[in-house]
Amino acid sequence: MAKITRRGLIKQATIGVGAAGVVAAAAAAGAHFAPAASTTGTQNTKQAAITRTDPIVVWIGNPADGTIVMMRGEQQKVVNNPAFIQSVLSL
Amino acid sequence: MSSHREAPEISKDPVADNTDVYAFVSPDRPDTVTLIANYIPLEGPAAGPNFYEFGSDVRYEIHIDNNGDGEADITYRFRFKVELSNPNTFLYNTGPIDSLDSPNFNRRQLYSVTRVDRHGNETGLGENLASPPCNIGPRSTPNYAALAKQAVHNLNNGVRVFAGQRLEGFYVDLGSIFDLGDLRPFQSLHLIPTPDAAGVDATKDVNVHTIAIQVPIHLLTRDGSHPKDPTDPRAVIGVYASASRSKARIILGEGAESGFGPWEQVSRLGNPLFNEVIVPMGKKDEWNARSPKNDSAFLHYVQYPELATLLPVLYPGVFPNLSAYTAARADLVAILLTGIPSGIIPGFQNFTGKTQADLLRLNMAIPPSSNPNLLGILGGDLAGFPNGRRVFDDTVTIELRAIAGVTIPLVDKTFKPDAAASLVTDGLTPDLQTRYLSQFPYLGTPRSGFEVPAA
Repeated sequence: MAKITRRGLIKQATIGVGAAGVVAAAAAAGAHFAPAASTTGTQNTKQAAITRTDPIVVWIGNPADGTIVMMRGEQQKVVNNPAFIQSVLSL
Repeated sequence: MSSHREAPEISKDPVADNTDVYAFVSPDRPDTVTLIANYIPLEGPAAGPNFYEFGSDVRYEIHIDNNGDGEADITYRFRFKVELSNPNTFLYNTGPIDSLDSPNFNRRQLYSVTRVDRHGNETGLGENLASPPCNIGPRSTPNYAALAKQAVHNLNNGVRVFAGQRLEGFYVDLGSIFDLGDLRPFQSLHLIPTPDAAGVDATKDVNVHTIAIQVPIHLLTRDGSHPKDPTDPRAVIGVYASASRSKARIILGEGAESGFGPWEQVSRLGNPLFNEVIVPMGKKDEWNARSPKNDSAFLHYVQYPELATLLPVLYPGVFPNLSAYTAARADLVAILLTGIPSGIIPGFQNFTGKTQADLLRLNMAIPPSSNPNLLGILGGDLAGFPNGRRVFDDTVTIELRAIAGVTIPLVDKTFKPDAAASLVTDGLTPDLQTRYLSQFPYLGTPRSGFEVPAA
C-alpha cells in the first residue's frame, strides 16, 4: 500500500481536478441518451429531454383485464389491449 | 421515533425515510418561516468509506396547504445529483476539505430547488447548489461548522436553503419506550416493574440529512399577505413533507439502474408520531403513500388511539380516569387533523377547516417566543408544538401527555385528567446550547465519525 504523505495528498488532489473535467464531459455526452426519471449515479437534477431512443417499460398488472401501462421517462400511458396480452401469454 | 423507520416498507429504504418535519416562524428573521424535512434515520457518524447522502433517485418535497383543503398549494421540490472528482480512488475525500469547492472533496452532492404551485406550474429557484460533506473528523473536515455555513444558499426573494447532514434534533428514550411502553422515570409503576431511573437519550449522537428552506411569510399565504392577527384564517398554513420514487425500477446490469414512470409517494410526515403510534401496523405503508386530504380514512385511529388503552394496562391504577373515558377523542382530532379552533385556547387558533388531514399547522401570526418552553402550548408557549414545531420541542412528552388525557378538557370540561397525565415523560431535556443553532438551519453541527466512533 502506498505511503500517505502530505505531498502525496496534494498530488492526489491535483489529479482530482483533472478527472472532474473528464467526468463532466462524459456526463454531458451521456445526458442525451439518459432516461429521464431517475438513473442513479452521476446525473442531472433537471429532467433530460426524452428522445425516441429512450427505453419503454411495460407493466401488465392483471393480464385478465387487458390493461397495459407503458412508462417512458416520467410519463405513463395506459391502454387496453387484450389481444396484445393474449399474444404475450401464448409465447 | 418521531417517524424514523415508522412503517415496515420505508424502514428498508432509509434514503427516502422522512424522519421529522419542523415548521416555525424564524426566531432571528420573524418575517419568514423555516420549513425543515429530515431524512435518513439514525446515521452513525463513523460511516466511511461511503458516507450518507441524499438519493439521486428520490424526489424530496415540502408541501404547504394554505387554503385548508388538505392538498398542497405550494411545493418546494428538491432533486439531488452526485459528482465525482476522481472515480479512481476509493476515498470520499483525498485530503482536508476546507471549502465546498475543494478538489479534495471527491464525492459531492449538488441539488436543485423548484417551487410548484397548486396548478403544477414549476419555477426553478436554484440549480447546482452545493451540499456540504458529512462530518468525518478533524483531518478531513477540520472546521465543519464553517464549512456547513458555506452551504447556506441565499436565493431570490429572501428565500434561503440548506441541504446536508445535521445533528439529530429529535430526542427520545427509544430503548425504553419500545420495551412495552416503559418510561424509565416511572418504571416502578410499570406492569413489569424495575426501579425508577433517568431517561436515556438514544439520538444525541446520531446524525440525519436535513432539507431546510426559509421563506418570507407573504410567499406562503394564499393571497400574498403577511397576517399579523392570530385570528386571521390566512395566518394558518398546513405543512407536510414527502419522498417519492419512480413507479418502476429496472436493474440494467453492470452497476446501473434506472427509474421509469410517474413518481409515487413512499414516505410522508406531518405531525410527529402520527404514523408511528396512531396508525396500526397493517395500514402504515398505505398511509405513507396517501395524500393528507384522504386522512378521514384514519379518523377512527385518532378518535380511539391504541396507546390510550395501553397506558392504563401498562401502568395499573395510574390512569383510572383515562381508562373510564370512552368518548371519541375530539381533542386529538383537533390537534392532529383539523387544527384547534378559536375559543379553546385564549389568543390562539390554527384551525384549517373541516377537512381532516394530518398536517403540521402553523399560525404564522404568533411571534417567536423569547423564552421558549419545550412543552410548547402545553407549557403556555403558543409559538411551540402543536403550533407548528420547533427543532427543540419535546414532542414525545407533549404527545404522551395529550394521549394520556391532559388535553381532553379542552373539548370536554366534564373530564378530570389523572394526576399522572401531566407528569408522564420519557425524562429527557436536551442541552439547547450545544445541540442546536440559533440561526438557520437551526439543527446543530453533526457529530463526526472521529468524535463518535461507535454510535
